[in-house]
Amino acid sequence: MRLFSVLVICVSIGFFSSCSSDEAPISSLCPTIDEADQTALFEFYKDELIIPAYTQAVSDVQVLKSGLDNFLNNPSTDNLLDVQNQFKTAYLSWEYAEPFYFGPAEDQLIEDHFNYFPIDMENLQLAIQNGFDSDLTEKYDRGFPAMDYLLFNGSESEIIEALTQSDVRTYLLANIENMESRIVAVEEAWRGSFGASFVANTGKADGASLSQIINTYNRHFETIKRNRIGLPSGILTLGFKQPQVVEGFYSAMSLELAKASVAASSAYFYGHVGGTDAHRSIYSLLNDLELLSGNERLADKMDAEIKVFANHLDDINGTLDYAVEFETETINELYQSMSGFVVLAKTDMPTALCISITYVDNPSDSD
Amino acid sequence: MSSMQKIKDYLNTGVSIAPLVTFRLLFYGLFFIGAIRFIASGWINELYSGTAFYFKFYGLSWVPNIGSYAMLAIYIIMVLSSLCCLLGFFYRLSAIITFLGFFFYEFTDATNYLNHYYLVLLLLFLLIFLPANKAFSFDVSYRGVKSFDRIPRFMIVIIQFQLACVYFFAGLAKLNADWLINFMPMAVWLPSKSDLPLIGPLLAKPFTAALFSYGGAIYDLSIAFFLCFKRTRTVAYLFVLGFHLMVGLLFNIGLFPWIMILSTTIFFSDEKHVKILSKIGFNPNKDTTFVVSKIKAVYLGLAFYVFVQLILPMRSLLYPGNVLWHEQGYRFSWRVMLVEKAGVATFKVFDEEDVFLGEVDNSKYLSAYQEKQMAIQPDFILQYAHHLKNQLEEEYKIKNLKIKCDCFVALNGRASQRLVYADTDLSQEVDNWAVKKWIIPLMDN
Repeated sequence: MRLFSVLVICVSIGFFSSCSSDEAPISSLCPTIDEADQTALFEFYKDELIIPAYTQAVSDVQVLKSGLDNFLNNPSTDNLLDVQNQFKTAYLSWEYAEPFYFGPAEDQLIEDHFNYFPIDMENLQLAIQNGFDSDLTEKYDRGFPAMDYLLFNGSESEIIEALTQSDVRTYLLANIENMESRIVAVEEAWRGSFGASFVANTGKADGASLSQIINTYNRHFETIKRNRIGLPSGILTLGFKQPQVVEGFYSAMSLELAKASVAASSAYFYGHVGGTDAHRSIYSLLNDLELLSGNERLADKMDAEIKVFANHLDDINGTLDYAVEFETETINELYQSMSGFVVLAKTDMPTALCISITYVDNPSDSD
Repeated sequence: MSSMQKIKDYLNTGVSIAPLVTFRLLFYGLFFIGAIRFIASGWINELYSGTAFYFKFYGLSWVPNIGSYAMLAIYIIMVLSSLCCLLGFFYRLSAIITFLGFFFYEFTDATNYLNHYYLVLLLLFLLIFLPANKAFSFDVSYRGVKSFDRIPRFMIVIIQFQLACVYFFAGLAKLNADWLINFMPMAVWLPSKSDLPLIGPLLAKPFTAALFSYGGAIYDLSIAFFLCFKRTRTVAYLFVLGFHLMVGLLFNIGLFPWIMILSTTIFFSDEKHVKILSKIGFNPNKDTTFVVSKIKAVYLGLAFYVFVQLILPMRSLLYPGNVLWHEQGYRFSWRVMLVEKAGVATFKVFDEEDVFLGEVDNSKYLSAYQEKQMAIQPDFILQYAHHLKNQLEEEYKIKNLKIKCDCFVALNGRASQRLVYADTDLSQEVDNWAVKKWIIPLMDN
């Protein structure tokens, strides 16, 4: 009996201590999203955003490959210019395919094979001597960044001379073939069974399509913030700038690439690509569900912050490596505004949608 | 006779050793399997190589970081020592080794803290002192250790008490507004399992979250009492089976369901245990009672243990605000499955004149999982800030750096809000038992 009264006292203490606090109730519980709306959303992403991005990237990579073939067979200044331009086109197209790092893209480890930057120059020489191997060659020795270096570092004659050495030549061809075969495989999977299962994979389970979209959107945005802006700017190294680690340093297209990756991220969020008017997207979903963050609409809040950092990015001229050195203020503002957005995208949005962030998952059990 | 004396007599009455023997077999058997599972899963490498920094528990910062190879060695030793415990072979020594190994594992990186690991550690600790090898063991058969068929009752009761604590305090912790009114975090977690066959669609329904929340709270608060009484015991055990198997199916909680399912068999009567064990050869010397020497000291130790176990889970009441948010007094309190938190913590570095120098790339110092855990737990944020100060001052040869943190956390469906004051130099704050004033209370939103 005595035990029982102790129990009652304990329960009451616990109960009142938790009720007496003056916090407001939780504003929104998990929203229900119609099955049909989900399917339509996934269909839109697949057909209007993802497949077009891969199709474009595949075609531009193939053009680059034949351009490279052509140049290596007939090394000339004109042919070098051609292949350099083809490289730029392909690199920019890739930026629009990069956000969708799940399913077949993840199976193909496409990010590591396409765009792990910066390259490790000393190691690249070693890798060239050893010959390209899609399993063994390090991720920082291959893909676009390796080509960026080999196709653009030095004067035209120096480049031509370097490229026509037989080991470099073989390396470049193997690298582009590896890229082509991987991205073709991804595109085919999207057009085939993976695309179909993506559309059908409704619900909120980890690994369901909505969870993939929210997670990869976040992940991609964080790589823009850290790799494209944070590391070169010196913000992450107490002010010690590393302009040479920008993406596309040698081809001097760092700013174009950064803008393209931000545009790709925005397209992922808003569903904006040319053509259709009826955009379905993360943005439209947040709007339709009228999800709130505090008293404000989450969609409006995110929209406003995206505009802020997009404006800061527009303020930058020339190349990112130049801006990192001489337009520190603008770069800092850009970076800080991106940090603010990460909070909304990584905590408020998943919370409001009841989706968990799984790209950082428990390695072992939880409780 | 005073009631104190009555209690003492009750606790000292001889009861069969059989339940303790069963417990030894099941618990160490599970530990043995668990250790092998841990090695086979590759978790040691994943968790203990790659970063140079590990989070520590308050007061346990002295536990050294030994790297993944040494950790693997510890695990292999624990596989062997738990097997010895299971067989009752050099029992005391093996029990001590198993306990120390697991202690070391558990306290090397606080990131990996799990309540059920803590329970395992406590049980391993108790088992060092219990004469679980005094019957049906290699020690008795081959090493001439004397066998007994009766032990004082408190040796069984202490394990029952420990298990009851887990349930009861886990139930108490559920009596909060998030759990009872908003059904959080069940309302988020259950729909995320809606792709399961058969029950999947049901899990997406709001009603199910309410059912789980109230069912879970009632179960936790009452199950230990129902297990204590003979009349309700069988039904209660069926509930134990059903509850843990279901929860185990739904959530990624590893061996926890099995720990509880196997451990709670200790609530069954002596006769049941004797009956089952004798089928596999349990046959201790009849009418021999294990006598405890220095009983006063033992009772004192026992009372202290019980006191600590009752006080630790309640200590969070001493801290103002919502424990789910500030996490002061959160661990070692059987608070399980209570929060869904998402956080982002950005550390900013200033020089002594308060000039902003830059931000910290967390991925340089922490694993992705450590970063995720750090961003939602204030004491980790503090430890990490101290580590950063040392690390960066050495790396950049700058003195008197200030470390501040922009940390935003969304708790159980609320909009995100700041967890710590942005202008506090965290490297000057000390971790202790006092209220952490640099934590911003959970606010209306």
